[in-house]
Amino acid sequence: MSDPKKPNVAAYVDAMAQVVGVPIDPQYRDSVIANFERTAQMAALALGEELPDDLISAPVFRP
Amino acid sequence: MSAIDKDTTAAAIASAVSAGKATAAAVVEHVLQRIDTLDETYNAFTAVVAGRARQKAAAIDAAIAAGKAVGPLTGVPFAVKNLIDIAGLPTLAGSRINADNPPAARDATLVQRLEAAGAILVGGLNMGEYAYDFTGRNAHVGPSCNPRDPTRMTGGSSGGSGAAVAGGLVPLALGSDTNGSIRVPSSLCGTFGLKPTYGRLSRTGAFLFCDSLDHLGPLARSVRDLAASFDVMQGPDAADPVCTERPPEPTLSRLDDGIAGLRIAIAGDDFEHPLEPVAATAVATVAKALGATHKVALPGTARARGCASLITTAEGGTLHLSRLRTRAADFDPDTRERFMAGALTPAAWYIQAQRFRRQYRQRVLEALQDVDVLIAPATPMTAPRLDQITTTISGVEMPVRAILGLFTQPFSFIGLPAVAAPLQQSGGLPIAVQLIAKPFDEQAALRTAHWLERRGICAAPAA
Repeated sequence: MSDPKKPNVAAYVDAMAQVVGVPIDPQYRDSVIANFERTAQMAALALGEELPDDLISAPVFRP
Repeated sequence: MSAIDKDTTAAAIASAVSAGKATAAAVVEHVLQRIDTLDETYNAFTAVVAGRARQKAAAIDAAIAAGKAVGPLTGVPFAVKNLIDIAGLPTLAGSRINADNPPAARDATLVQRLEAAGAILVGGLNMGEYAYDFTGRNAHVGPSCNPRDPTRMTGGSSGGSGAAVAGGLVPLALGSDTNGSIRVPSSLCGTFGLKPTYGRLSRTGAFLFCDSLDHLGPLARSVRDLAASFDVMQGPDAADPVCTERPPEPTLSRLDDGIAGLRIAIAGDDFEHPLEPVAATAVATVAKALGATHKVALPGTARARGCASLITTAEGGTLHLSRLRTRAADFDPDTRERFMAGALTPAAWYIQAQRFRRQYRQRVLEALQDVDVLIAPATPMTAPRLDQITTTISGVEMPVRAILGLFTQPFSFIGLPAVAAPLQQSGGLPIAVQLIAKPFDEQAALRTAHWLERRGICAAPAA
């Protein structure tokens, strides 16, 4: 049984690959999912705390 | 002519050639001979531009004979990571795919600046594909091999740069550093390396990996050579929107100022584990020599690592979208699925990571308010075997690729300048420490590294 609280990364990867237009050959799929799961773990750790609304990033764009 | 050997520094070559004690032509032949003899073992070079180098050397020798002014790097051979444009060659960036690109129309800005100072480009260097690498492995051309022990990794992604300098093939090489790709090979190969402040050096003509975090910088066997090359590469470049408009701030003239007046501390907490005993000893040795006892914690470092990785994977995956669509099978298996996953990163994660980057910068600068130079490990371990996947530190098994950049990544994330300064272990493999300074204060890190070098604590002899 899959954990209902755990996001379905495989479904996300399959759907987003279609939306973004990156065809993922079946031989690469498991590894892409495993890599995305690692990214999701990093995101959970890195972005778990709220950031203040007035914290903006530091873009370098100069008009 | 005076003997040029594998250990001759860029400064010594420039001095000998400028004084007419050696010819640039002889220096170039010496280097080409060493590449010819040794590169079968090190696999550092992916292209050698012998004709161009000989032509440039002849022009320099003619200029010296005519009494014309020559630059501070006169006759100094150098090579560049193959993501840096060399006119007439496709810029591979470690890939097979880019070999199909048209040749670069002109040299990258930094190559132009080094050659304007009298240096002589001799070739392009091996690297991990598209710089998404800490190991120096490359499925297309084989791994670069560590001159200290060719059965071991150079570290990456500037693996060829580390091997070429540590192997005494060239005294100077350029690499790039997104999360540690200059400092990791410097540590594993035992060379000095400088990752300057983000935006300090132009990246025009480099095939970037992750624009938000990419830096270019030199690797060399002496701190003087780092400083001399860094100084001539500084300067604004409107073609790189990130490149600073600050005027160049020379470092070479300050190298001998010593460490008096510098407040030096040790990075604590997140920078104290995981460490092999040899890495911990390196930090302790350098701290003791510098009289540093104060430990500084950098709050938010674990999050910083995660955010740097998020930005890297998102920007890298997006950069390669069209190639992932059409040439997936031609990627290195070590990078392909990581780039594919990166291309699917939600915008929310990426934007939050960029916002946190600014918060972490603020926290670190506050923590370093009373510190000029911070000592941190460069890598948690010495060079792994070429086929090594995991390592065990303090009883915990960890993937090598994931931990090699643990201590470098937080500082490139917020663009602080850092020098990798290597300690050579008697009968063992080298390992470096990082000397980190505040933004645009490269001279503080370079002065400290030079002080350690003069006392024999740090050194980078050729293998």
